[in-house]
Amino acid sequence: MKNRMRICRAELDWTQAQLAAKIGVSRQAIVAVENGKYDPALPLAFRISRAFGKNVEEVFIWDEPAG
Amino acid sequence: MDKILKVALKSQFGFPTPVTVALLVAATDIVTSLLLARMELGQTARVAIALLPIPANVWLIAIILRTLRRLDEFLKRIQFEAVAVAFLTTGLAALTYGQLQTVQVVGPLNAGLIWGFMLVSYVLGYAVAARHYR
Repeated sequence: MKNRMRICRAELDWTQAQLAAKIGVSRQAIVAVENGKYDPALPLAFRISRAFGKNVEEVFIWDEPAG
Repeated sequence: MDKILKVALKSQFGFPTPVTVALLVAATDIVTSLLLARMELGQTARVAIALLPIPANVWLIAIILRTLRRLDEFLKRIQFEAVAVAFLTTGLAALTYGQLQTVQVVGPLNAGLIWGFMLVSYVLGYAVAARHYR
């Protein structure tokens, strides 16, 4: 799963720590999700998207497996 | 690890924090071990002293569980992987040591040392998991 978190953060001029504080998770969680190392569960994905004022599909992009 | 340390050092319900209770448990364990090793007591007293660390340890388990429930889903994933590493490596180590005991290559071992081994492998597992998701 890809995401546009870095772009959304840049648009709002937020740091990872600020985003983490807004949605009540650790900064490590934001770093891992943003770098694509960890796919968040639906509730966290919704909270991240809502913090940016966007829908989930605008922030997280499902990668169809090839084949 | 900074978030977990912050949670561990700051209790939602004020004093005591998980770290405070862990220190109390460590002190209880050390003191009872020393008493059992160095004092000549009756069997009943020795059993009572051997069981003395149980309440503090149960208290620590409860506080650790409460702390885990307050972590976010990502930190819970890291903890899960660290605990899995600790559980599996300790199981492997215990099994291997048991086999070596059977063939009389090694002697008897204080089962309490297993806890120390598990703690070390937990820290290693945590480091590996945290690095994996960085």
